Amino acid sequence: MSLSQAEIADDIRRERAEIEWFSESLEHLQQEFSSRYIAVLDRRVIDSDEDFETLLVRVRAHPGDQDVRIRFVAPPGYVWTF
Amino acid sequence: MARSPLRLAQGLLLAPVVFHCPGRHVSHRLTFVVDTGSSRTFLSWSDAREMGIDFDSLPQADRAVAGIGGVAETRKVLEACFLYLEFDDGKVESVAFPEGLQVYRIPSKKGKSLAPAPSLLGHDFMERSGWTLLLDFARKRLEFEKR
Repeated sequence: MSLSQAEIADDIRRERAEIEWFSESLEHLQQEFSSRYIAVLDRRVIDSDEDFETLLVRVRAHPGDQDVRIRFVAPPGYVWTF
Repeated sequence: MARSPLRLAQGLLLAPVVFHCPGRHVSHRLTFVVDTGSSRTFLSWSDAREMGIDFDSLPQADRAVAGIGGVAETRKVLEACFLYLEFDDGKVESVAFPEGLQVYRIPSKKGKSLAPAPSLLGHDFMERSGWTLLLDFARKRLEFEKR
């Protein structure tokens, strides 16, 4: 599997745009999807679930949705520690 | 000097990347957290799962991982992995992990779903890249810089 520079750059730009959308929409997303995983396609939430695996199985059941990314919406004030 | 901007969201410093593992025929866009407190770079169990890599089918990693959140389970993708970032000079640069990458999972509590966990860019990434990590929060300049 080889990737062209243009394909990689395009994918990175899509990821960056989605991060920016996620960051800007976080307050709104927290109102509706707090502590849930959301499935995002083209900066739209197409599904959600409190369980990652359950959501992934549902998303992958649609062959056209391979570009869907799953993200976790932490509740307001959530502190990440690693 | 070229820059690759980072983004703050949910209190995390985020880097959009493309993860590529030719040995597993996997290529996927991902977001990594830049973690200056982590000595190593890790894939999260959920990012791995999204790419079709099952955590439980991976071999054990050579050492356990401990952090403030407790001890994590670790496995390893043994095949070479590459992380790609884009810079504002229009070039895409890669950082290679020829020995593969560790994958981590925070154990679930009884009756609960697995805890969410982001993929992490650690010191090994920063050292291998040769880039400067610039964090100027007051001026909102958060980026990797390459000369």
